[in-house]
Amino acid sequence: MSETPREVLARVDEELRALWAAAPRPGEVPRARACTVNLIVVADSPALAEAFVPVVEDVVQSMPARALVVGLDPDGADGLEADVSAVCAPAPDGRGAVCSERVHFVARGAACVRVPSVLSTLCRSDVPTTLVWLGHVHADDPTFAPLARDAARIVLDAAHGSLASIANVVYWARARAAAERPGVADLAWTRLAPWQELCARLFDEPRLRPLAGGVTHLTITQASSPGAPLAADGALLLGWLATRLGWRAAAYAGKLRLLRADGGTMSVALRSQPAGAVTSEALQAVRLEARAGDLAMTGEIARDADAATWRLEVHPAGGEPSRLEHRVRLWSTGTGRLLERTLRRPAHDHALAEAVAWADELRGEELACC
Amino acid sequence: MTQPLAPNPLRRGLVEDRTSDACTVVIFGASGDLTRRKLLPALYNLAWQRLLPGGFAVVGVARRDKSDDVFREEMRSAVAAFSHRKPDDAVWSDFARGLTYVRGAASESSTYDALRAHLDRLAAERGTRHSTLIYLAVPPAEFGPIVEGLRAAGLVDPPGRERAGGPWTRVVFEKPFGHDLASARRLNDAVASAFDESQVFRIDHYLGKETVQNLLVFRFANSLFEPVWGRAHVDHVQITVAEDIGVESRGRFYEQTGVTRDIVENHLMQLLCLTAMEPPISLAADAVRDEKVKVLRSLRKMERSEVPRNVVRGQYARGLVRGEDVAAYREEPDVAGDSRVETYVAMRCFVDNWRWSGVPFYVRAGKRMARRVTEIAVVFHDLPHALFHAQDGGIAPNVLAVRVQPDEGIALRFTSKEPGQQTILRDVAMDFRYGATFGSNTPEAYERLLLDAMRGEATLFTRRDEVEEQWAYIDRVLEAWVADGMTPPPTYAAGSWGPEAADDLLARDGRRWRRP
Repeated sequence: MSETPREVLARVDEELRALWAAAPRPGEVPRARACTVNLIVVADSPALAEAFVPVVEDVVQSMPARALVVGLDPDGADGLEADVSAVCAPAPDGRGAVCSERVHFVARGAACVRVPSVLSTLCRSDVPTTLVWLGHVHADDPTFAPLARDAARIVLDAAHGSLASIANVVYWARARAAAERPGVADLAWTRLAPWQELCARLFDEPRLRPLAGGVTHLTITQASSPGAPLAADGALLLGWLATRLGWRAAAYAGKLRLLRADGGTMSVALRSQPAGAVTSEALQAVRLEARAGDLAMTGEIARDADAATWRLEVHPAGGEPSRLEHRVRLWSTGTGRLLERTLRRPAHDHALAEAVAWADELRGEELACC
Repeated sequence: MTQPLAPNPLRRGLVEDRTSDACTVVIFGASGDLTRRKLLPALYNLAWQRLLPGGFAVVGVARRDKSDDVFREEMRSAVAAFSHRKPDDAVWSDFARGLTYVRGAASESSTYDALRAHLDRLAAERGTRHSTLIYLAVPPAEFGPIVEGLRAAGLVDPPGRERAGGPWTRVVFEKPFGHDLASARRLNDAVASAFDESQVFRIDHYLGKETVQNLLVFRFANSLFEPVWGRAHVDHVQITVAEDIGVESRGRFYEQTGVTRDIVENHLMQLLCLTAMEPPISLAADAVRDEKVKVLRSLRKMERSEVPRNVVRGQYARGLVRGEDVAAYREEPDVAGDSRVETYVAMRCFVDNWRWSGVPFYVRAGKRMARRVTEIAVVFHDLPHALFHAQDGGIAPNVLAVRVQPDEGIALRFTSKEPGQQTILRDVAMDFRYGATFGSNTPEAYERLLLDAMRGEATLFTRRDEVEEQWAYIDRVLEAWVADGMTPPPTYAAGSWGPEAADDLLARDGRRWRRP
């Protein structure tokens, strides 16, 4: 017979205490428990949660936490399972180890709605709570809603959900009173950060600054098969560029056109490239063409595995074109590093909210790979 | 008047760690120890963290003739030896492409001509846009000639151009910045002839340490501590900068400086300022530095006759450090057998302002002490009335200790009841440790300081008036010693906590040094 949630909690509590009750045996390194955050990870399947356990263990090496990982199986037979362990990393001074606590749950059937109650009992007081939600979600979801209300930060992943999910949570968070408004982050958005930085570099040089208002063509290349729609990463990049540069979307004869802030039109194209070693739907390249006055430029960022080539070509009217090219290492795309980076960012990111809102409005428009 | 440049719209709202604008870092003294041990490892670690801009280059300048490839190989060895991250082939190969070398001496105008041509080439090839951070990792005697050489060669961009989006020039000076007040002023005047103060970055690497920066956060981001941070609650403050190493290969340098110039005038004075300063009106560089200068100006000036009563010198004799026999200072290489240079100093200072009136600040710094530790300890008043009977006589006062190094963290000592039927009191500590809380992500001080200098953020650098106020205070002590005939300082056994006279300094006030 399976344990009741109360029995599971009592056992988890006892096992957590037991982790720290015993003195180290001879030869064992002393362990210090540390906790800077309650890190709740909820996945929409037990398999996804299982796959995320190593990610969490990676993150708590540098961000000690009480990590509560939950896999939901709403269609399974009612039941709650739990497994407790300590995750330790060598202390920075080399003396002993700094340890986090990790509890891995699987909730099935009716136990899914009890998950928020179980987790709230286990959250450490006086440290903030971060909720990482892997899967589609709606703000009214009975498991999501109570956890989200208690969280200081919510992290989603468009790769495991959808832009619509992110938009829904962003709108829900915006509607809350400022003091109770959690920060909303997205792993796909963090993944975009190097692309944003490299795009911004195209306009850093003072003489090229006016060109930011004169973009004529944008081409986004993603790792996908021909005909695939614009994926989350590309949509977020487009939303970001549009909200920074004042673009508006308009459809002409079924084709998407963008209007610049100065009223001029610009074209946007989506290209596909075989995924190869890169994650499917990941960004592969971005190309911007711009003109302002007598100056024209082409900027391109092309990804090549873990690095990217940044190219800038400037054409002054009647002058010699100038070219600059840098090779840039991209950040590790490992989910652990990505989550860690996300957790270290400021909680509230208005640029994400704006980009999501813009891209969400595009949903009805067709932008498919050619 | 030049118009400020419109910001890059794609930079608005970017939340990732900010890199600097495209630039070249020019290091004078590229063959030296500081470059190998600190600067190149720090720059490499910034590259590893992707915190360097796209258009970036490093130019080493030194007297020896060598090719770019030889310089790169030397720097790779330095990174391998001294960086907390060893060279990764992919990171290093990207980074090394931007490493080049210019041969030249500080006093030769041809050095600056060659440097200018080199910087022009880098701007075209690497997009560094002529913005330059010049790092003077050279002896102070070369500061003046290099500043003059840069100015004469037109390598210093006026500060206004930066605001209009033009290139910038900044210069970083290593300590010691002067030998006394007069020399510091001369040096400042020479620097001011070429650079605006906003372009000058005087490094005190202590300010790059996380715990030192955290002092401001601790004091001004917590409502708990600021109300008790002053004479009403604080009995006294102790600041200790202790090293267990001796002068090692720096005997010649130490014979010229001593611990007062090497540590007290800069690191220790800065720690005192950060402990005693009022809340700044903002975190802008000048707002913070204004408050530090106020502390320095509030330091009670010592008359010569008061120095012996308030300052104790010492010099280490033979002893045991970490269980090993170690030589006396006078037996160290390049040190005179009858040297009178101090390797230890303890001072009783007063900050004569509203907050700290009557509260002594006991500060000490020394070589070859029992252990390596830097800490600031705020000792609170004794209880006004003893309600509980403490078995070992008296209840110890609360102490808040900020450990700058090692074991970076903050500990609060207080009294607690031992569990049991009797009321037995025990001292206990609430102990926050950086490592245990935040893992091992603490950057090296030079990483933070170099990046700040590239970004033009000057909060963690000392301003001209700070340096001069520090020297003005220390000069009185140094002058008193000279007037006293530079009598030999009392010795202390290596591995101890200093001469007995230092204990007497506090004992006269009914206090004693902590054993941190």
